[in-house]
Amino acid sequence: MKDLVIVWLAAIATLAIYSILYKENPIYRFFEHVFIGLATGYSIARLWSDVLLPSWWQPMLGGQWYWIFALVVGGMFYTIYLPRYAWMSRLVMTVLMGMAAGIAFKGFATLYIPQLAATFRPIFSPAPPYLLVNNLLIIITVVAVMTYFFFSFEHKSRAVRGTASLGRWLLMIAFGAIFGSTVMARVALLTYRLWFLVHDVPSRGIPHL
Amino acid sequence: MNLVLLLKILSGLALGIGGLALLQRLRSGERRRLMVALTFIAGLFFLLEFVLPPGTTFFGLVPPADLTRDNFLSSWVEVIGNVVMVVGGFAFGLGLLNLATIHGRTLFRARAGWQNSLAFFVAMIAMTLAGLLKDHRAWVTVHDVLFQGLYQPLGASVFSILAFFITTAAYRAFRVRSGEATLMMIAAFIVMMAQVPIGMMMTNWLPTEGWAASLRIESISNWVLTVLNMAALRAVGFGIGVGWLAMSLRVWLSLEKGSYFGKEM
Repeated sequence: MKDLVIVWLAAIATLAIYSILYKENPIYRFFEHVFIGLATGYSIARLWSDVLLPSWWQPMLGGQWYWIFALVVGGMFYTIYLPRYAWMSRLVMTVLMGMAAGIAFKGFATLYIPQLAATFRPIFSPAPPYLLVNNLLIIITVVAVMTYFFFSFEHKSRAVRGTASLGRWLLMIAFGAIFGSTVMARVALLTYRLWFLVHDVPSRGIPHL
Repeated sequence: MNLVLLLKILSGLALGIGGLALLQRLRSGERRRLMVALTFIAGLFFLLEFVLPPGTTFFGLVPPADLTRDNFLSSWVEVIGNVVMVVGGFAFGLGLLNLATIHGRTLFRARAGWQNSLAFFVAMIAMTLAGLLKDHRAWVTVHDVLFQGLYQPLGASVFSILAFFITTAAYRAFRVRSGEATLMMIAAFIVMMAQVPIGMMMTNWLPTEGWAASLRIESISNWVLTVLNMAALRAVGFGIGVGWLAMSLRVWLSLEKGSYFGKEM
């Protein structure tokens, strides 16, 4: 019985969402709100069971009473609704931003420096020629695209203009590739939903007498 | 929970609220200086933790747990990470309050679409309860029905309709007959065709080994993705990284000005 309810609810929900492809309608709006409500409720439950319960509530009740200060600091966010005390919400926000800034230095070094090293690889070595050509193409692409995004001075020189133009063309290839991948990911989801409607609903949703 | 612990927790709460009351007594300039100082210290901690070499102690007093890998600040990173996670978790309520305010107004003033707002509240409360109580036998069914019957299919359907919107956008983009649009279309075509059987059939007659194998559509797609696409995105990433670093420096040193940073306190 539960499976039957799940299958039919899922079918109705799927069709309700696809009804927007025809035109804006109240059924779509209703299910859109249901989805937002469910997503919010799911996030609340996950936040409590994955974060607040194991990292705050349980340690606090386990004897680490000082975790109550986290509630006070977290409560400072809500002073945003009280104009007289609103500055406190900015205090806690700026401290978090300061931390994020400090982490950024480490993040930059660990994320981008290995990428820099991986970008400028040998173009003269005993490696197979196609690898050397690829290494050269990677260097050219990185330099050309970075030149295109370099706005600190006007692109007056012909060399800079040409490099930036090449960068724009190479960017278009990259955007095309991203676009293709995105379309295929969405189409895979669509195929999965259509398969559910034409296969799963008749096989699981209609009781066999 | 024993009484002593409860008293400690309540005392801590009173102490925290008292601290906030003291903070409120600060003057505008003092509040700003406090903010600048705390922001700087918060950033400095993570910067020092990163730049100090392994084995560094705090004047010989606090030895790191692992002398070959950590310095004296390293053990605090996880603790601070936990605190940030918990404090950040409390901020979730801000978004919740915002949603509740918008839908609450619509519902109680019976504005157009109040039924949708009611559906939002019912769905949110039901899913919260089902998520929190899913280990209880009676709630397992409710959780499964809501999660598998509504949440999952609604999520998948919402994201899959983007396939239609993205195709419409592509049609408009590719109608612009420029060299760039053509190049973008060719790259997209190659990547898409390499992922579907009909696309792969186009070059199925080519051998799977040797130099000719690199002309098969899946090889060309792989080359576009791992050489040109990767290099172009890496260049964009470098730009973002430098901007991120500059912005972080401005925030850390409280040099940033603007609507948020320059307000009176």
